[in-house]
Amino acid sequence: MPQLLIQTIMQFNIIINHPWLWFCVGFALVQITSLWMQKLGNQLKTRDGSLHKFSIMDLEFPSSAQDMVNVINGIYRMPEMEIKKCLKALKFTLIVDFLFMPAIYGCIFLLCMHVAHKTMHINPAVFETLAWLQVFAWLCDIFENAYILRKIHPDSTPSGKMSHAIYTAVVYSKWGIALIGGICASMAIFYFWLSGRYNPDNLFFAMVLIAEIVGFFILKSVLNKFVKTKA
Amino acid sequence: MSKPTDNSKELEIDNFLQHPEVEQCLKEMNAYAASKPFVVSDVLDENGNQYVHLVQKGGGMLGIALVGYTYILEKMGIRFMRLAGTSAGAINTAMMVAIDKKEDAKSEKILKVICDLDFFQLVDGHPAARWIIRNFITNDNFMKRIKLWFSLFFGLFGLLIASNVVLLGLENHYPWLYRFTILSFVLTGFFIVLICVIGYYLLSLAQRLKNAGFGINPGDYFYDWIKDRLKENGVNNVSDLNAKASQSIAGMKLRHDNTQGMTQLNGDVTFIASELVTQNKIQFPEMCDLFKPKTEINTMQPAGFIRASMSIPVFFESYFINNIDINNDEIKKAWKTRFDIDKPPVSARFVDGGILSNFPINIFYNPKISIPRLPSFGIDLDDTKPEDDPKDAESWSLGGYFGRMFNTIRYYYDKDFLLKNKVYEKGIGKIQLYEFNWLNFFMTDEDKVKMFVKGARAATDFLKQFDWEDYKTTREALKKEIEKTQPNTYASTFNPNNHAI
Repeated sequence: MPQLLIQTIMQFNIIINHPWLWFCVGFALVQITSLWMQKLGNQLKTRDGSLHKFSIMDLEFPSSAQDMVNVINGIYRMPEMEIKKCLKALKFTLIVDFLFMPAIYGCIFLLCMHVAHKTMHINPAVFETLAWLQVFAWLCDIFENAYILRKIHPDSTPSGKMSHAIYTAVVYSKWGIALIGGICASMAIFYFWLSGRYNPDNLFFAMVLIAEIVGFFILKSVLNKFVKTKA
Repeated sequence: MSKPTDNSKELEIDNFLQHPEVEQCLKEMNAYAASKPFVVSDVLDENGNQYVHLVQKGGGMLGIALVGYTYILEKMGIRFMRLAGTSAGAINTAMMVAIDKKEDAKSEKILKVICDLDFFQLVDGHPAARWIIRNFITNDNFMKRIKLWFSLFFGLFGLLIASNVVLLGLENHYPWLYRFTILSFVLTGFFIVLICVIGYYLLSLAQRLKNAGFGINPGDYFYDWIKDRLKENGVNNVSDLNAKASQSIAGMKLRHDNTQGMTQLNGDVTFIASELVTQNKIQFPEMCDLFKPKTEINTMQPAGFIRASMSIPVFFESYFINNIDINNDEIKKAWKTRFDIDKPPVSARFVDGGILSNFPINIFYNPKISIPRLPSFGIDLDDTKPEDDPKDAESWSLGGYFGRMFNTIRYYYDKDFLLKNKVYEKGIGKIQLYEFNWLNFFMTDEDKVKMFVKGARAATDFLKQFDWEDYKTTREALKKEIEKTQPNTYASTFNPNNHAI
C-alpha cells in the first residue's frame, strides 16, 4: 500500500516538484475569478417578497426546494430591463465559476498533496485522500451549477423531495470536502512553518503569494472606486 | 411550558365540545336562560336569534380561546352583525364571515378547521429558525443547553490552541512528539472549519432576515391556507367578502321600537393592519380604495388582508401591496380624504394590526346613537402573568423595561377609547390565558382544548352578568354627557362610520 501511494505521488512528480509555482498560478486565478464573480454578484436581485439582493449562496443553500424557486421566480417579477441584467449576471457568474473551479480545487489538491508528501513517514493516506477528494468536489460543483442553470427559467417549479435532497447532499459534500481539505492542509503547513520544516528556497513563492493578496486588494478597491464613479 | 404536539392521536371536534367543563358551561347557561328571559340585544331574526357586534382581540395561538367564547354565544342563540378583529382575531373573524349564512352558528365549523390545521406549518421560515423557535418556546432548558455547548466547543478549541503551543515547544527536545503536534494542528484546522461554517451560517441567516424585510417566517403557508379556506366558502375576492359580511338576515326585526328603526342595520367586516410607509392604521376591506380604484378592487385578495393583520413583526415577514397607481385620481382622492396625504405611496408595507389597535372596539362607536339597538361585544385575551405585577418598578430588567414601554404605546390607543367610553367595557368578556404562550405554534392538543374551555367559561361568566337594559341606559347617559360637555365635537370622535348601534 505505501508503495502504491509513493508511485501515485511520483506520477505527479512535476507538480510535486514545483507545487508552489502551480499554487501561485492557481491562487491568482482564484482571486481574479472570485473578484469577477463578486462584481457580477452586485447585479443579482430578486423580488421574493421584497426587492433585495441575493447571492449564489442563496441558491446553493436554499432552506427548501420552494425557497430556491422563490428566488428564481422573483427575478422575473422585476421590470424587464432588470430581469435581463440580472439573468445575464447570474448565468455569467455560473460560467465564470467553471473557471474558478479548477483553480480552487487544484490549489487545495496541491496543498493536501504537499502535506501528504511531507508526512510520508507518518501516514500520508489522510491528506492523499483529501487531495483526491477534491476531484469529487469539483464534479459536485459542476453538477450543482448545471442544476441551477437548468432551474433558471420563468415559472420554475420546485424539485421533488428526492432531487432536492440529492442536490443538498452534493452541495454540502462539495463544501465539506473543500473546506476540510483547504483549512486542515493550511494548518499543517502553518505547523511546518512554525517548526522550521520548510525549504528556504520556497520563500520566494511565499512572497509571490503575499504580493498576489496585496495586488488583489488594490485591484478590488480600484474597481470599487471605478464602479462608484461610473454610478 | 408544554411539549411539542403528539400527533399520534388526531384531534377531533368532540375533544372540544364534549369536554366536561364545556358541557357544564352549557348546562349553566341553559339553567340561567330558563330562570329569566335571556336578552342581550333588541335585534332579532325569524328564528329568535339575537344579534350583536363582535370584536375579537389578537393574540397568536391564544386565538383558539376565541372560538370557545363564540361557541357559547352561538349556542345561546347569539349571532353577529358587524365583525372586526386584529391578527388572530382577524382570522377567526374572517372564518365567521365566510362560513355559511349570518343566521347560522359557525364555531363548530371553525373548530373543524382548527383540528385539521397543523399550526407548526405556519412557522414556515428557514429550518434553523424553526428549530430555534420551537426549542426556545417549548424547551425551558434550551438557553442553558446552548450555553453549555458553546462553552464546551470554545473550551475544546482553546485547549487545542494551548496544546499546539505546548507540543510545538516540547518537540524541540522530544522529536517523537512530532506526530501529535501535527495532529493537534490539523484538529485545530478542523475546528476553524466548524467556526467558519457556523459563523457564515449565522451571518447568512442574518442576511436572509434582512432580505426578508426582517421577518423570520414568510407567512406564505398561512396566506395559502386562509385563501383556500375562504375559497371553500365562496369568498374569492373583495366583493364576495363584502357580500358575505353584509348579507341580509331573514326576518330581521326589532324587539322594541327605536327612533333609528331598521336603518343602517347592515353587517360588515373589518380587519386591522398597521401600515408602515405612511404610518397609518388600515381597516380592510373598507380602505381598499387606497390601493386600487373601484373597478379593480377584485384584483386584491381578501386573504392578503388577514395576512397583513397577522404579520407579527419579526416573527412573520411584512405583507406588501406593491405597484399602487399613484397617478390614479380615485386613489389620490382616497389618500387625501382618509389620511390627508397628497402623494400616495408606491408600495404599502403592513405589519400586525396589534401594534396599533389589537382590540379595535372603537370602530363600532357611533356617538349619534341615543339608544342602541344592539350591543358591541368584545373578546379580550389576557395573558398577563400574576407575577408580572409591577411591584418594583426600579428593579426591572432591560427587557422588562422595554417590554413595558412598548406595551404602554401599543395598548394605549384602545385603552384610551375604553376609558372615555366605559359603557363598552360592559360588553367585554376577558379570557385569562397567562399559562399559555401566544407564540407557541407547537402547542399540544391538550392545551388547545384547555384554551377552548377557558374561552367557553369566560363567555358563560360574561353572559351571566351582562345586563342589556343597563347597557342601554349607560349608553344613553354617555350620549347625553358628551352632548353636554362637547356639543360641537361629539360627532367627530374616533369613528367616522355612520353605522348605528
